[in-house]
Amino acid sequence: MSYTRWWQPVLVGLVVLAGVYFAAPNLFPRTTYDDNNVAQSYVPAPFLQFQVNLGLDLQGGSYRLVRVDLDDAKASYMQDVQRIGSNTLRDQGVALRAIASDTNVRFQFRDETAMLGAREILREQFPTANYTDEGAVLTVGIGDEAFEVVKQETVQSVRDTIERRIDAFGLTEPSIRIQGEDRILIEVPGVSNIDEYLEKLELSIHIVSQAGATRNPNETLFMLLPDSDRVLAAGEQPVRYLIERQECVNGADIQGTGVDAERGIAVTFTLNSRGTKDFANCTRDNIGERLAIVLDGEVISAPNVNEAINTGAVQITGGFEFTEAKTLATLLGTGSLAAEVESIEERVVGPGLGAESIRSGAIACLVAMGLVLVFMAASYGLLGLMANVALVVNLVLLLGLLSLFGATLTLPGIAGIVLTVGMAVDANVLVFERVREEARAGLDPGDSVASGYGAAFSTILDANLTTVIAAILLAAFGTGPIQGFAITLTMGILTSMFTALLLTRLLINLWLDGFRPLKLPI
Amino acid sequence: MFPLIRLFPQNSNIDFLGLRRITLVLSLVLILGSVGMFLTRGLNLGIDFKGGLLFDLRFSETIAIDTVKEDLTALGFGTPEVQAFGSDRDAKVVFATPNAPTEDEEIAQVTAIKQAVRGLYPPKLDGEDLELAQAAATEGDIEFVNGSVEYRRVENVGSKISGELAQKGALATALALLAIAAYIWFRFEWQFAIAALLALSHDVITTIGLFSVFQFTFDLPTVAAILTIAGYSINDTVVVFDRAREEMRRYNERPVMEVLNIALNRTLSRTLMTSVTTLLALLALFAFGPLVIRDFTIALMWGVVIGTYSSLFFATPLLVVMGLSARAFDKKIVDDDEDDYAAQLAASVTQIDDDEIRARVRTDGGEDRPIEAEMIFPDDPDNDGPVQGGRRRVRKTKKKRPLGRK
Repeated sequence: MSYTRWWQPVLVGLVVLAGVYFAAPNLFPRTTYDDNNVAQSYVPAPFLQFQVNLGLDLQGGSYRLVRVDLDDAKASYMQDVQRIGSNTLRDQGVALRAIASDTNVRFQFRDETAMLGAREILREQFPTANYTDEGAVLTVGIGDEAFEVVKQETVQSVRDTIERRIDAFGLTEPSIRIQGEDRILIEVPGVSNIDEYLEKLELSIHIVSQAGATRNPNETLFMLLPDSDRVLAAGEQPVRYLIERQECVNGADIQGTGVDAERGIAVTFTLNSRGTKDFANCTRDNIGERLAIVLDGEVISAPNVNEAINTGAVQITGGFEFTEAKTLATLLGTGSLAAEVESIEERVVGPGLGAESIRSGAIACLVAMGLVLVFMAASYGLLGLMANVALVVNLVLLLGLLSLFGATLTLPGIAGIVLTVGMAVDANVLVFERVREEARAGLDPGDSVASGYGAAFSTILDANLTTVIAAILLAAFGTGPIQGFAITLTMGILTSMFTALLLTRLLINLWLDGFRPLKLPI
Repeated sequence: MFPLIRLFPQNSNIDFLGLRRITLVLSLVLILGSVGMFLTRGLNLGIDFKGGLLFDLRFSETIAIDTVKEDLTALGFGTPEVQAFGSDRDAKVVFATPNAPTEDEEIAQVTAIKQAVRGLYPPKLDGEDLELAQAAATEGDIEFVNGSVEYRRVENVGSKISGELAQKGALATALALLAIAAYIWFRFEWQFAIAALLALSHDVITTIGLFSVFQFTFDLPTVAAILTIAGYSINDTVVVFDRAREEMRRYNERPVMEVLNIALNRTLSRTLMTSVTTLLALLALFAFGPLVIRDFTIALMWGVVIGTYSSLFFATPLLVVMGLSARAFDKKIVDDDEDDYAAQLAASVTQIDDDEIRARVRTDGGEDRPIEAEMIFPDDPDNDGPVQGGRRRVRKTKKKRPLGRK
């Protein structure tokens, strides 16, 4: 009588081979990128390019969770209502005054009839906004429906802009995902500081009003030169500018950007045709006045207007350092964020620490393996050696499975693998202890093995399923690194059940068939 | 082959349940002590749950922690926690979340702290950062000077997120415990489910107690460790319970404590083997693994120890406390191949007077089958032992034959 069927070694062999096939690419150096940013791989052609993804905590990089400021998005929506609404109404000959706040716009008309007419015109433009009227005053707010749309568009637009910015610097494989309704998760490998990609960079150019005296008191802003040594000489007080709310031109009309280092370092940009026309008009009408170039609420430069500028070429000089100017120019070229973002969670790992973690994690894993291998061989002899084969194969299968699914290996994930090494032998221990009992009860080797596996099976299943339950909850609630731990733990349980229940059993049965022992060496 | 090491008893006969008063009280003391520590001393929460700004800095030369602390305090953002971390060139710096009236201001302050620290200790760029900076410097034809301090880790968790993380962590733990208990209830009797749930809570609470006593940093990985401990501990408990149920069905006439003792003794060798292999692996991780996850490893090691303890001395005695009775189990026709050894062990555990057995055998089975005597349960007159034993005897005699020929 034979203990093995012909298909058993074939099946188990195929699975093990598949594991080796998918795990093997990890032995080769990681994918790198050539000058044209095309992936170069060291993995030889016969192997598919499956490699375990390394989490940011292992390869180094930035993890950042930001919240999009929806109040800011609301405020820009209200500004749109004010600007587009006023222009449309004026084009139709309706006289009005409009005052925008962060939450609504108040349109003041000559009388109620004018208001009612204007309301219909505005409704066509902004069908989802909220309209309340009182006499000749119409207040337009953002309705729930409009807010919902604005929210989605803003968050999507912010995400896309951040992606464009990161791409503009040629950084490798960033991952930028929207989470929940107003959060964006940004992961950039290999980079330790991404603060500059997250600035709003809203640029506009205004006319500086004469000190104190304004043309229209309702349409002016105070802006300060930033309190930074880039613009101010040491000891100099920040300068306060009174500028017109109405802008000559804004960042949306920027076409191309660059850095000019001819006379001092300047950020340069060219405007599109609309911007060129607006800027030409603005400068022509205000010769002798000053312009304020405003970036995110601060005047970064305030040049005098000496002549009309018709070329659409603008230069910002402001005591920049070259690198800084270069970065700003690149970022301005990608446009401003649709709303401000706030960092609420940041985790950065330097490349040095990541490499060290991989190294020490690998050493710990090998030492753990060594200890467990010796202990198992010493305790169970020949059967222990078979369990050891299973343990090594288990690690290969686990690596293969992680590679196949493109799972991300994190630092806690490495801990999960080490833990798997310790716990993987559990199934074999359960079986072997049972086999021992059977053998001592006088069963022959074949029967003891069969009976041991049979009796231990449901226990192994129960014990592993409960661990999987805990791991699944970890995966569901955890963030990045912890999910990595849960994934390796779960996959480790799957592969260890395969090796303990099928592989070792096959090895033992083959041995029983080959040697026909009268007594188990256990 | 070589002689096998028998670290653990093959044929142990420990009266675990006899110790139940002591061990249950001990567990109760551990639980109450942990709760007490938690309430009085609290946990050393990491920035994951408390919020704050953390830097792992590696300087180019040996530093004095006090100097670093003074320099950082001089920045004017309060006094950070500074501690040595690994070598004498490494410092771990934690700034508490700034007390700001709004989240916006809090974020602005955190950014200010980051900039100030980067100004004080210019970062040493590496990898892609370095390439970018060098490329820009080359383009602008200026000299690139790298900083000297390696920013190995920077973490910043806002106060709102830290609250969310704490909530999620607590929810995950509670759900995991309940889900595991539900699974046990589905697979076992209700007493087992409750005992398992209590044992799990015991392990989780004492782990929290350990973190409170030693003031280890309690952060997200710790929650992962606790859930893993729960998984490991239940693994252990399930093995014992599975065996307990099996023995209950086999000896459903016997006192429950006796049957549970049998189950514990028979799984003892396995319980200890698995604990040792897992501890060996974790020991390797503790000694050689990354420093960042050392507290995590300690939690796991503790979990293995407490999980093993609770399966043996807490979960199983609880079954007795809840009045589990072997009679509740239908006597299953168990595989008689196993029954032989089981009966021997049962006999040795109860130490029945040989004469009494012989007396029963005489009345039951007649004098020509004395070999069956060992397999009869003294307190069960209806026992069908002799019939079950028949097959086994044949096999035994088969094996003895070669010896007999010599």
